Amino acid sequence: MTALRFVACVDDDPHMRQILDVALGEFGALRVVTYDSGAAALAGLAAEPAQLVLLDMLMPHMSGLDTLHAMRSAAALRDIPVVFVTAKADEGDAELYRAAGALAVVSKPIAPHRLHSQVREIWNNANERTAS
Amino acid sequence: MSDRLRQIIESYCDGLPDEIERLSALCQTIDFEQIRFSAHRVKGTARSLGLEALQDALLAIEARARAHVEAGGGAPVDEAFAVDIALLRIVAAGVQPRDSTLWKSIATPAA
Repeated sequence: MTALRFVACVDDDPHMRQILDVALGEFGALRVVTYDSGAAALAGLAAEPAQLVLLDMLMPHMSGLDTLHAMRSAAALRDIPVVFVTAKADEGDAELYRAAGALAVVSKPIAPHRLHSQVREIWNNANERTAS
Repeated sequence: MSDRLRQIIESYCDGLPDEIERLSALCQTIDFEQIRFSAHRVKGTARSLGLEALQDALLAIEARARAHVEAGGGAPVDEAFAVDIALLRIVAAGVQPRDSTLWKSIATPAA
């Protein structure tokens, strides 16, 4: 199984990006790159694809779903797994996001000390499903 | 290990007056979608930091803006936004980094 080492986080709030960087980078020892918009993420990921992308849902100009759709339409990005990080994560919404191609949904508010474990678990489960 | 989290919480609280002024200015416009996004953004972080009173005050603005968006956005500027902003200012004035549940969850470093 490939270990998770490099994640990208997309959120329009600068404080949230810093929290994600601490939660995954400092607490989780992952390499983290952050983007402030879907458009910035598409450009950055094309240049340097992350293993996993954490996407905020409600962002101006390009929502998380719009960003996911754009990734799935781009050959270089279509296979990068996406996890939505959103406050709008009831079961109906989560089902909708998975149907759109998201690997999983993590609810906000995040727990900074636990997020890296949640993300690694999602990654490992997905890898095990692929291998079996 | 949690110094950066403390700095983020302090930075967020320090920036609240400016955020509220930006939001207040937006609430003078009819750009309800932008009001919604801005309130949602600031609220989302308040929620993640565990600043519940602030989160509730911002939620009121986000919900009002969303209602305008869903109604088609043709309505005039709602005077209730001014009340929401006034309440937000009162709540924000009392917010301290140590009110954050995330701050409280961070163990005090050894002296």
